[in-house]
Amino acid sequence: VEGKQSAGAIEASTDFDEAFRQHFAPVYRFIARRVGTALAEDLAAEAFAIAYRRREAYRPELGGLRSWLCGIAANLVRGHWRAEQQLLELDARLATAGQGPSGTWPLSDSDAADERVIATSLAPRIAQALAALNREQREVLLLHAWADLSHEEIAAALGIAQGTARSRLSRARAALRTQLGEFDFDLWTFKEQGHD
Amino acid sequence: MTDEIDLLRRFRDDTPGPDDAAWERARTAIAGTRASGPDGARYQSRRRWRPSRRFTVITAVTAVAAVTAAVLVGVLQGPPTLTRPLRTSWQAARPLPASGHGMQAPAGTWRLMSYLVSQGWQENTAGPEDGVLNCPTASTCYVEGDNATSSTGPADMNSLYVSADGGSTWSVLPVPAGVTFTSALSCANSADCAAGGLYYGHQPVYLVTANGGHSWTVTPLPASVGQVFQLDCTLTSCRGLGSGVGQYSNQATFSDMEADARFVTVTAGGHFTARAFPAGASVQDISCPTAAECVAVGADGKNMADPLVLFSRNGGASWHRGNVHGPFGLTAFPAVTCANATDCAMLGYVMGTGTVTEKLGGGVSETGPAQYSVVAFSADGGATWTSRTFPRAIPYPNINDLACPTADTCYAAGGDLIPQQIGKTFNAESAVVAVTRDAGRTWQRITFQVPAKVPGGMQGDSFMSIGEIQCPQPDACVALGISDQGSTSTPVYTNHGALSPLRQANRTPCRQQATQHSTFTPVYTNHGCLSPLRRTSQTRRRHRATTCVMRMTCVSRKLLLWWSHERFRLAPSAGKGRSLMLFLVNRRYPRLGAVLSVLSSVAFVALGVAEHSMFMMVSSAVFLALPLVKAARKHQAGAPQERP
Repeated sequence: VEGKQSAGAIEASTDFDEAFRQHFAPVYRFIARRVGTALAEDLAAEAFAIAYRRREAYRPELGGLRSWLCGIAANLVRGHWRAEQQLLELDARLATAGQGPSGTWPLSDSDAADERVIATSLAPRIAQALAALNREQREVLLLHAWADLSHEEIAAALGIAQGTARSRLSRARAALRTQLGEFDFDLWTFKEQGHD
Repeated sequence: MTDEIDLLRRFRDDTPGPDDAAWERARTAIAGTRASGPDGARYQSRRRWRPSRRFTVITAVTAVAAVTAAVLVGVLQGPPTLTRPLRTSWQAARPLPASGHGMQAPAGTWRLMSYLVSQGWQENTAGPEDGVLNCPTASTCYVEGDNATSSTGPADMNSLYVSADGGSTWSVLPVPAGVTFTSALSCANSADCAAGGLYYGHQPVYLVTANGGHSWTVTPLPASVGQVFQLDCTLTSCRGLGSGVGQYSNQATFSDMEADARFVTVTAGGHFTARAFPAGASVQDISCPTAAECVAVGADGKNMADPLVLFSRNGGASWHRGNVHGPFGLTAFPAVTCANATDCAMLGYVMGTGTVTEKLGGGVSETGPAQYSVVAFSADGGATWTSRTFPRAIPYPNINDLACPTADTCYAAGGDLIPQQIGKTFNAESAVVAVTRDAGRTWQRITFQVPAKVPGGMQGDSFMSIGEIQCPQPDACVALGISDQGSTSTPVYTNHGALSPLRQANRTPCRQQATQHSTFTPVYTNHGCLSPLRRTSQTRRRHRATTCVMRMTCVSRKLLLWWSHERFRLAPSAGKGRSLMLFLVNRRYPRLGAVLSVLSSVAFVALGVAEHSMFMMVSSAVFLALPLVKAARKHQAGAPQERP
């Protein structure tokens, strides 16, 4: 279906039904990760309703169907940036609650801890870093990380130049690194946490 | 090796996918869209137009740039200039609330008559700024006033008041936009008047009204005439003094301007001529009882050390020096008035050899050189003069103004060294009016009561002297008190009785519109009627800088303040804008405020821009908005943190 739709516009209702079945879940999840499940149901439904109405405007030469749908979703989420920001800051507050008396990170130093547990433990710090980014940087970063879009697809989804998308993504990654501070990507831990 | 993207991919990785309800919700939405028809193209045409972020930014930047450009153009393009006469439309006078006293008193009884109500009627620190009085008839009086609202700002005579009942009630007359008076009003009768002025603070103009100030013709003056600061008019012509400089000369350089004063004539056809006085003459006041006879007084040279009196018998074509017998020194602001072609009087000043003590109240006193006013009289058209002193009943008088309705009758108004207490205010001087019926051989001190308590909006020292006096008839005078710094009012005194029905019928139609609440100015009078003596009084107004008995000290201090204000004179309203900006800026950004105020003042003074109050107001608005925006952002950023 992806290949067929990528070759041309969404010409029939059956094509759209197939696209819906294939892409609704990832689009919903992309939205839910950004603004929460409570809003995601409405926004995802609205995104596909918009996609149906605008299916003739889909131009496969500019990017895949997934990027087009994520672009619609991103535009919808943009209108709920306050909810997204509040959700991030709420996650970031967990950092304060989870910190130990000495202010150290309560991450387990067990080598057996799997990445998922570690990532969950790091969530407050990541949320804090994301919350500190500006909206444009966060948007391209999450389209890249959560929707798996390349910078070309991001450019098509957001209607911006590829160079702009590339530089914006680059700056966003740099900004995120800065916000994360002394994070050791090999050990998946913060150096200032004192795991020795 | 992992990176931040990998880390990010694991953040909220446990977010669940859509449940059945979400699928159903989406299907329903799509079905609803399908039911409305396959209208992708139509949707495009119907969709609500939403400006893009870039468009919004461009629009905002453009708007800000346009506003900034408009402000800069408005400020930098300078004030407008007249190239041909400007005629204003007829406008009604705005009556001021009546505050009359004693209209039923017998004629000839001097008393405080009323308070001239005027909004923002104040003086600057250079000296009393109480207005310039002119009464062409017993019933009609005009006062040019300073409408500046700042008690410390420069004076700008841009308001005009009229009374049609001998000073009892007053109305505000329209003044053409951008016009400030540079000379006293000179009237041939109650309706035909003329004055010198400045248009938007830079262009000398000549103002004429034929209907008592309800409409005006503003004519640009030739450069040879310059700024007119003295006028003496009949129905067919005017004579006066001009600066001879075709551009604005502020009062800080007024003495320089007077040093080069020209004798100016204006004929009925609107022809202006300017002739120079003899070399070295610094003429400051002139009186022309006829078209041919004129008497001019001033200083002999620019050092203002010696008095000078000149007279002309041929309309200013040639001038001869007059001689004064008796003690007579130059006053700071010489004044001369002629009742007819032969009889004239002029003010002088004598520095005595002794000392005098001024009681300042509270047991405090100061001792200084004895100085007092004298009046010289001439009965031959200004050729010879005899100086006359005042009696001991008027100790050490400081006379501000003279009015001579007849050859022998003259009124002198000012203050003398008699302590006075009004309420809690203790004045070292008292307001005084002296009258002579024999050309100065004898003088009678006229007394009148002042309020026991200082009226609201005034200060007690408003009653310590009289600034202006006009006597169109021997028994009908109006005098204007002074208003000292911080006072919003000036007294009006009179000596005339209740107006006769005939006089009341002559009132100009000026009662329209509603009254307004504002502050007061006292007026004094004494009425009764004869030859219309028209003379200007710009110099008399300035003379009142010498109201203290310790005059040299007082004058020095006031002149210094006067110079500082006039030297850096900007727009009349600049003070308000500057004050507001400084208030706003200094509260939040004191250092920035200081830098901005200094830079803006230097820049605008350097550019010679007179009107920059708009800039100040815009600056104020910006700095008012900054803390609000900051507070809003802080509130917005802090809101989630406050949640449990």
